[in-house]
Amino acid sequence: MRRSLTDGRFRPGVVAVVLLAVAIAAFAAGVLIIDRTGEMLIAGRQHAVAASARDYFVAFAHEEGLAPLARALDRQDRARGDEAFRYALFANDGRRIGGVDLLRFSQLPGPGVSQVTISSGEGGAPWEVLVQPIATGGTLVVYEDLHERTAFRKALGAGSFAALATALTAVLAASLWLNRLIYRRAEGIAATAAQIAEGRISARAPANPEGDVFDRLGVAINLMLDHNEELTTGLRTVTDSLAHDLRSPLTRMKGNLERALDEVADPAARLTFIARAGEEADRALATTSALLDIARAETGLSREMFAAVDLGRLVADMSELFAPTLEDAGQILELVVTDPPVIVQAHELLLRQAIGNLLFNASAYAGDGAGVRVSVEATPTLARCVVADTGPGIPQGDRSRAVERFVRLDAARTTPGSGLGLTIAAACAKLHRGQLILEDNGPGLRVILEIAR
Amino acid sequence: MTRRILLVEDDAETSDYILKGLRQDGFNVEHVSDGRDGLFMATSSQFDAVIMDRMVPGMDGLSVIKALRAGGVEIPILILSALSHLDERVTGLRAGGDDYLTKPFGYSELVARLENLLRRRPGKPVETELQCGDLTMDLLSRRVMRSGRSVDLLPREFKLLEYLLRHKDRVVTRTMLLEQVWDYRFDPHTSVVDTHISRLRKKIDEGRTDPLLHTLRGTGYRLSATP
Repeated sequence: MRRSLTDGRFRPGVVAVVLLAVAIAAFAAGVLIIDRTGEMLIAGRQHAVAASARDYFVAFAHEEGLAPLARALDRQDRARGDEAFRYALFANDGRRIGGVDLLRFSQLPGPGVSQVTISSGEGGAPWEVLVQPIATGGTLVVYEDLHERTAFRKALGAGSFAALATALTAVLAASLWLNRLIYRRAEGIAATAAQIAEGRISARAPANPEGDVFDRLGVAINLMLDHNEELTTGLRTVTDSLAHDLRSPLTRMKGNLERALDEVADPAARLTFIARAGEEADRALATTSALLDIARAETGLSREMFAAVDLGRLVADMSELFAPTLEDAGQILELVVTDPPVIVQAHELLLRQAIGNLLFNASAYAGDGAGVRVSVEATPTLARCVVADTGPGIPQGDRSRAVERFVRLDAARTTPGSGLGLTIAAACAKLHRGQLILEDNGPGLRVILEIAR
Repeated sequence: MTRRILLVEDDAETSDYILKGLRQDGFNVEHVSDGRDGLFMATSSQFDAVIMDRMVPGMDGLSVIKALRAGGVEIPILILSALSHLDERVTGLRAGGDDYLTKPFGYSELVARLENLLRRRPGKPVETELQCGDLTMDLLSRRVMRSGRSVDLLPREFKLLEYLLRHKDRVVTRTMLLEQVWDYRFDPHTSVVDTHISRLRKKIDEGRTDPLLHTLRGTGYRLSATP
């Protein structure tokens, strides 16, 4: 695939380069200003030095005459010949009578300040020359070596350029790397979104909770996707279950109504059929509301209803409600509630229903003479309601199936029930970030409703 | 005295069903099918109770209830709703409804709850003794007597009997008992109430020819000195 610079993939990089160019321009302007200002300041200072030296020597010539000045300049040149300022004195006939030998009289520019290039062994060097004719005769020349100043400016320019070039390379490399990183990471997330759009709702973005900002973005997106998947699955399951499991009570209802409408049926039989149809309608309604409650619990929509609940008291309440039912079924109820109270953040109504279902199941399936022990246990992070009976129990292979929707194990086929009791309890546990555990009670069944505190 | 009821319900079949029943039972019922009309009627005219469907056109039922309560209208309100899950009931009651009935419902359940709401009269003196026939309940000493003989009741049986006594001569449904006495909404196994009633019945009625606790088949119970 061809990629031009205007390709959207490079856009962040291009933006970085443009910004970089602006920064470079600003930097260059800064360097230029430093160079010009520095040059101006230094040149001004040097001119002042040259002028004062000139004034001193001119005054010297007036007082002492040319010959002593020539001798003084010779001495000075011999002693400090490597200084930036050098001096020369010419007689009226153009003969150099003192100071440094840099230019012949004929080579001198006119009076005043001028810049010249004086050639020496290798190439020329820039000098500034101040030519001052002396009123009493002769000409004084002040030379200033510009070599250092030029060298400094060159070094400044070269240094700035090197710094700029390094910065440019680094920023270009960084922007390319960043561009690549952003696209590689963003494309991972985009690919996940595309998979979701295609219907693979279990697809997840690359994520690592300890990682960088993209990882954390991935974590956040995955949380959102988890929630969406739960909602979608919940909705799908409810729709499926409604379609599938309302059919049987509705079919039976229709059958009963048709038999009631039968012309040969006697009035008493008709009433019986109508009553049965009513019971089937009740069953269908109960199934509907149970399914909706399960769906809401499973999707976590009910969490806004959470409040502080005393679990021990709630379990005691429910045990009290079901005590006569268990007694009528020939079972012995034992309630064990811990002290101090176990306070949990919970959906109280749903929790009551879940525990009610466990107690109802015990009354329905544990059998005559069984013991039913209800207890509440707590750790700092968990709270458990345990309903253990000494009935026939559920074989290990069937236990996980027992929690599924509408599954009624063989033993339960002849007793009334919607087949949703344990599913509601499991959904309730899930809503409370816990789980429903079915265990062997040796003998019997132990059901543990475990919720997070 | 005829009791005036306002019914706010947009479904023609449901409202016909309720209107027919309530009028037969001697209620004076006004019917509107729009939420705004309901709000107008409830504020401009005197009613003894309102039956309010949650989803009506014009203005949502809960908003009507909130508006009424915000305007200081204290009239008892029974909410009807097709939304059946546990949270909805709480939302409805929080909005200011006094009771919540899920569609579809039986007429007997509706009228039992309506009677229950109509019984609530503000400013009633605090009762210390409840009575039905020769059964008395002293709420201070928590003693129950039948024909001068003390009856021993468990705490929950006491609460159950207290509720029945406060609603004596009226039909009380199983779901009403579950909701009011046990704070429990539990459709599939309302029969758990029967086990409690049968124990209570044994304690107050056993061996007597004039039972007070009557079972209404398919509906619920009634505590009454007259059969």
